Amino acid sequence: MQWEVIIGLEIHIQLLTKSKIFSESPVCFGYNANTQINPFDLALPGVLPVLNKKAVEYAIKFGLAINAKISPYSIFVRKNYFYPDLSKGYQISQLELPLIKGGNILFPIEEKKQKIKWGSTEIVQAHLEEDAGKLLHKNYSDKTGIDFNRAGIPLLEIITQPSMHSAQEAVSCAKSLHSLVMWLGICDGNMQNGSFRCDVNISIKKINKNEYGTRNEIKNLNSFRFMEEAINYEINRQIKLLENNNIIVQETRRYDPDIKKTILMRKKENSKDYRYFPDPDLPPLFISDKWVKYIKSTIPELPNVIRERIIANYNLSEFYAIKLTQSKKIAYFFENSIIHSDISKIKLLIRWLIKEIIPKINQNNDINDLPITPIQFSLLLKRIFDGTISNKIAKDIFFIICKEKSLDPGIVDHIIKTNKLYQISDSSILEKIVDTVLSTNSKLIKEFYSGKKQAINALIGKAIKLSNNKANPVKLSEI
Amino acid sequence: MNNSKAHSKRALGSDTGGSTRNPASYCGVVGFKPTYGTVSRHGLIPLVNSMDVPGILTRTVEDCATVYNVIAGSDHRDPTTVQKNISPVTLDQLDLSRLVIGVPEEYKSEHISPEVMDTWESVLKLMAKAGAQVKKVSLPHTQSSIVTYSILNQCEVASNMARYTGLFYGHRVTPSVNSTDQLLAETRKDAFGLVVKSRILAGNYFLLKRNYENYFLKALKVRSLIAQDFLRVWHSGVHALVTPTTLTTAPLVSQYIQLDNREQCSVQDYCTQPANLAGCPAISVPINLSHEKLPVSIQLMAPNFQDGLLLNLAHWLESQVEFNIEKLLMQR
Repeated sequence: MQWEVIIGLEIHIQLLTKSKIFSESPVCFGYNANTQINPFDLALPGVLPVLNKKAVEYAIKFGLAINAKISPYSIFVRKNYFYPDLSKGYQISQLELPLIKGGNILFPIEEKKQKIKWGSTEIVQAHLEEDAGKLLHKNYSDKTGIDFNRAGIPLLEIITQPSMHSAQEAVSCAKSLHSLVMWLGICDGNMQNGSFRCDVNISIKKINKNEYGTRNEIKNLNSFRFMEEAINYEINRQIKLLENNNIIVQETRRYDPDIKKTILMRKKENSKDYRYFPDPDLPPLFISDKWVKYIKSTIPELPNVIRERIIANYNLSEFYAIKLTQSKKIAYFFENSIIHSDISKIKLLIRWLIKEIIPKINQNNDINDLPITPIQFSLLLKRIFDGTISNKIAKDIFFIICKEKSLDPGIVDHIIKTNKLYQISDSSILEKIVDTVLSTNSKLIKEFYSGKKQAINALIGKAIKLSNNKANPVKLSEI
Repeated sequence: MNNSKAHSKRALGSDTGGSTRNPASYCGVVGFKPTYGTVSRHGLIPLVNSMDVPGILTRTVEDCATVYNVIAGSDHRDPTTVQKNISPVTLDQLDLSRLVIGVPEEYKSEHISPEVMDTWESVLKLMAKAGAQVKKVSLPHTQSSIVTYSILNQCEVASNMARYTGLFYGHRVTPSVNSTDQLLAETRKDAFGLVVKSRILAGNYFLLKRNYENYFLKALKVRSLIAQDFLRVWHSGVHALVTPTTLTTAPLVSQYIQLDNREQCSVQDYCTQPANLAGCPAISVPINLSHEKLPVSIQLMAPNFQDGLLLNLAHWLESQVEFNIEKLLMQR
């Protein structure tokens, strides 16, 4: 039997505003429970919600970046339900008249021999709402603690069309949204802390049938790996059910990464009626064209635009263009180091970027915190080209610069000079080293003469090591 | 609540369906509900957020205007307050010959007491005598006002009361079974009165997905029809409306407890409540005493944001009648 998988996403992103969406409490993480709250967050009667303009601005930024329609008129509703982490007994959200409607997101779905196949998903809507508090189960034997620091942090809920057909596609779409919201600077993208949370809706149907199957929702996936595992598990679970002539009931499930299974949370037939109605405390939200135009002018150049430019300017493949635009910081670094470098050596630059620099950049989300400045980096590469230092030594220097956090461009030459890290190309010195290696590695020499060509590389490696990485490998192999 | 026998000269009271004007009328003081959005609700415990207005209770209209000038204006902590500046009200000599006074037919309820009717007519005569053009007007949807109010009230109340769980503050019951649901259920069962409980149940019923369109949305539509009734009258050139505040003088406790809360509202709030649906300013001015020596009051209403005109008209009316609460208090 052939099955078709249908996947739609609902993604909650925490917006990086200074204060909460409806109160003046600060938005921050890692503080002691209930220290970042005010009377509104605790639902003390008589305190009213006041909409944070920045949250609206960020939502509009997102909307513009995905070519969505920015609603000139949208309303906030109350979603009524009881849960201890929801102090008011209702969540302020948007439903039928959301701020952002439509739009679409592009994402790479396949890569074959550095050729990229692109996928695209329509966005149904994106709307503003408030986050809830957090229940604390640790340290309270038979009781539960509640921390309201998170309550009221602005969320943008992004709902996609159910138009994806595999775990890989869904994950790629989510990754693309993840990098976009970070690119726009509206979310820190920290999935472990819950800044970017994915709910996945999955159904399957026979490939020739028109009507959709019953869908299940997997809630709160906070890593892309778990997302992929959960979707694949869920697809197989549903196929097995149907192949054994069972029916699928609509359920909300969660993923347990320890046992690698999705687990039932609740059946949808018992699902609550949220009794939505417009929140009378918040007037309708009117958005002027003028403001939208202003916000548009503040959007940074988007990755697809940069990709097109660097493909055209440097004759790069799409594959590398994607790698070099995976974040704003990386794209900035690339474009600023290439202008100081020799374009004919771009391959070395990209190899260095992908192998050494990008992993370092990705360790740190702070846009201003670079491991090395683009100018230092281009000087370092220059010293490799001109033969002053070996590639290996360059790596050592790179690590020193990362540690020192110096912005001084002169640091590259300074480190070379003070540590005498010059590459050894002088044949007489190199010959001595080679002699030493040859006299102490008779086994490798035998292997070489018995036909093992790789043995020569091992010998060169030993020679380089003996020279403290300073020996010029090209010259060495000649000798 | 302010009590005319107490020593306070001014007090605040929330007004959702008439809770400022109504008691003011019974007690013989001035009760003013300003235009919705001119006075901040920050700090006001909500009942029906879309109608709640902080009301003012005073012995004289002048005091009322003074308090209004202090509390009116935009407040960044209440987004439903008007954004524009509200100019302070000044009380001047009012020339009634420039005014058209409307008398809504629909307020002539069958429940109206003869003494209230007499007082109403006497006020209209006074105004006509002073040169005002007094004319009959129609607010045809008045009949539907109470039921509309009732639905919207219950929906907002159901949601507003959800925060009273005993988890963060207030009364909390130790539940018979150790679960959060049980803690909430037993605390709320114990703490809420019958009226609140019935409103919560009804409100949640009206808001259910299957009922939303037939009840909540319909009530919103009727509400806008009621507001349009008022607009039509104002556009026809009417400056203010004159009606009774309450249909009778203050009832006795024995009479009061015979009716349940629903019926109570439908009688007590009949004249006051439409102003909350329309958002317009309304004021109750004491006029005279009944044969039982109970105060009889008249309500004046004006277009939204015409609070100044309304207070000036009330001030004029106050000056024309013999009612003097200070003197009455001395006599007791």
